[in-house]
Amino acid sequence: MMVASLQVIVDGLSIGSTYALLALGLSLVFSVMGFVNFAYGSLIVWAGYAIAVTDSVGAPYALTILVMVVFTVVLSIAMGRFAFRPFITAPPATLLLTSFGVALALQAVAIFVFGEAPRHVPTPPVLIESVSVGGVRISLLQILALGLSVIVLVALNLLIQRTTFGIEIRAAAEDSKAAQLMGVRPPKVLLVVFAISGVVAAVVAFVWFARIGTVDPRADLTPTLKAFIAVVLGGLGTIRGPVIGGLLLGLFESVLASFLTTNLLAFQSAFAFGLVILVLILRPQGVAGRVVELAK
Amino acid sequence: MFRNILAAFTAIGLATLGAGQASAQSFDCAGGAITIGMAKAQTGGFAFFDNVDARGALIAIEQINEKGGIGGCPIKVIRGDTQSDPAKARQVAEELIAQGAQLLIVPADFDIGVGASQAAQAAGILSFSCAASSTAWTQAVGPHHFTAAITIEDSGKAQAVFANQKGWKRMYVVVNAAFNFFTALEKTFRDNFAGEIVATDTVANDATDYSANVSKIRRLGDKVDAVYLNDYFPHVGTFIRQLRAAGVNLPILGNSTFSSKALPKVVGAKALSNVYYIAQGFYEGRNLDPAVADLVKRYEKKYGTFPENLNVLPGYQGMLLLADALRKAGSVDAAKISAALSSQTNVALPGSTLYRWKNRHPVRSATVIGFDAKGEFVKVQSVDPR
Repeated sequence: MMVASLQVIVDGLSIGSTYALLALGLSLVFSVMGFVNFAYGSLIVWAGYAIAVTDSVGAPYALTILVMVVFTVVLSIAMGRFAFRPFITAPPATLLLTSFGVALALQAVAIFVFGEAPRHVPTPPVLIESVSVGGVRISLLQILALGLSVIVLVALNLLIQRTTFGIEIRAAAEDSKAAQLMGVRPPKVLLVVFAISGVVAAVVAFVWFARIGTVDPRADLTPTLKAFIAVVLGGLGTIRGPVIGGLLLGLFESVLASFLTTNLLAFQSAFAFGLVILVLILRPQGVAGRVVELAK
Repeated sequence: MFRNILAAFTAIGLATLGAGQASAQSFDCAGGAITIGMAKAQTGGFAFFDNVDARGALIAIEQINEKGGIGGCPIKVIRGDTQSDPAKARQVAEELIAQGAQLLIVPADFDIGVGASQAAQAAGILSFSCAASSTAWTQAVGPHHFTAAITIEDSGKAQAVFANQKGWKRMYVVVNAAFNFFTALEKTFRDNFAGEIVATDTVANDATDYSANVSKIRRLGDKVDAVYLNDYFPHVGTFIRQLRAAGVNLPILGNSTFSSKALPKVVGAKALSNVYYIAQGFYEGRNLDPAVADLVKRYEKKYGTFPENLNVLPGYQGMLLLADALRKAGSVDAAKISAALSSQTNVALPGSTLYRWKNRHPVRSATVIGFDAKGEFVKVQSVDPR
């Protein structure tokens, strides 16, 4: 029973760390622009295609990952520059609709270019093969996912809290006009935030596709929804909020999948959204978030 | 011995189709062509399945026209895009009928296509779904609608027949409950499986991690003989990969939606050892039925890719059955085509056998597909689900 419980925790933390990374990428853009970027999942999907295409020409795995990171960051910057920067002063609803438009456009292009069929995304077997530690099964990928989320969390925290640029991001997020008067250029801040968000998306994509092994053009909804749930659970406005939300969601899913009866297992997603509603009622700012003022 | 029997049976079946052609009265080709309306999803979420089904049917039509059509009457196809939208299906069907469609080929899914078949029924023309497997559809529409793919019930029975033959006594069931196809399939399997269902696990349709499910199977150890994995690719690729990575090498039995050329790449050849699935026919590997090999070759030449999914076979086979019925009927009259279809028995099709029709859905053979040591698709055996 002890081993079984530990296994549930390891499995939950492993998938939860991926959700945490997803939520961090989403939360970063929210902190500056004040909207949830529903095109975030499209970045992940295109990152998957970048790996698949690079692999198809015979490139070694390390090179496919390098190409994927560069491509994802460039795509994220392009998304920020051409789709969102023109609306930098628009209300959040406009930006939200824009993000839906970008997601649909990127999906349509993916269908046109790659077709509907899922494509193989390579993974070195060593990443997914698991070893038993005291009866608890764990893979290198699970350890990597946890490690990468810690690294990204610490790096982002240092960036936001300890650097001049971090201060600029916080200033732009707090009051864009006042920040401008202090010499901060919100459009530049926006693009750098999208670049960082792209880096986080690339890290997520590495873990995500190593786990599932395929990409298809309609696979953007799941990562976006998971990130959204994690962000709402953990709370916006802090770095730790999305991380806590992601880990909680992962643990919650793992516990449900392990202990729910067969009849109830089909309703796992409903339980996850039920938890979100409960958190919103009891603690609207999320488990670890702070109250965010959207009206500008 | 088995090959000889099969060859003889095939000869009888082809002779039956040929006899239909020979004995057919001259076709009433009033408009200069038989106009088939193809109301199928060319865009949207279901297009991945419907386009391949349509392409299979179009290749059959191309072959029929190359040989002079049906009783000298060529087939003309007019197409409409239902956009994977159930509400649009009826509208598109009505537009095609208004444009002169004399019979309709409708989507491969009950929910998405029922509106189109109802429009055809209302207009007094025949509708035909080459790749649908729901037995409820024909009952929901009326006497002029046929579905031609192996039914869910027969697929489930075929799975159980194979599992029983393998001697598996204790099965761990994993099911994606988001789709009726999987729950109905599992029910039939469960009803016909001679052994014990040790446990049933439900996986979410948006799941990307199966660690918890894998842990449960692992904990049961040697209390399980095989895993009944009732989900679709790409999910099953991820599941098998995670299961094998956890050191669980139990046999896995799946369904026709496992069919994807990407599966061996995702899972790896070694991990595919002891993985089987039941399908309507075999088109993915080598040593194919010559007619199926020709279909694949034509598909690749015409569309520049290997058939993307399993629907290519039912699309092709369905059109051959429909063409045979048109020959026998001698016209596009819905009642005559319905009667001609219903009279078809023991028809050897490329890659499959139609035994008979029952309430306007087919009773047909199933094929068990597995993998060799290199991860290549291989035909394991045929199964008669009756």
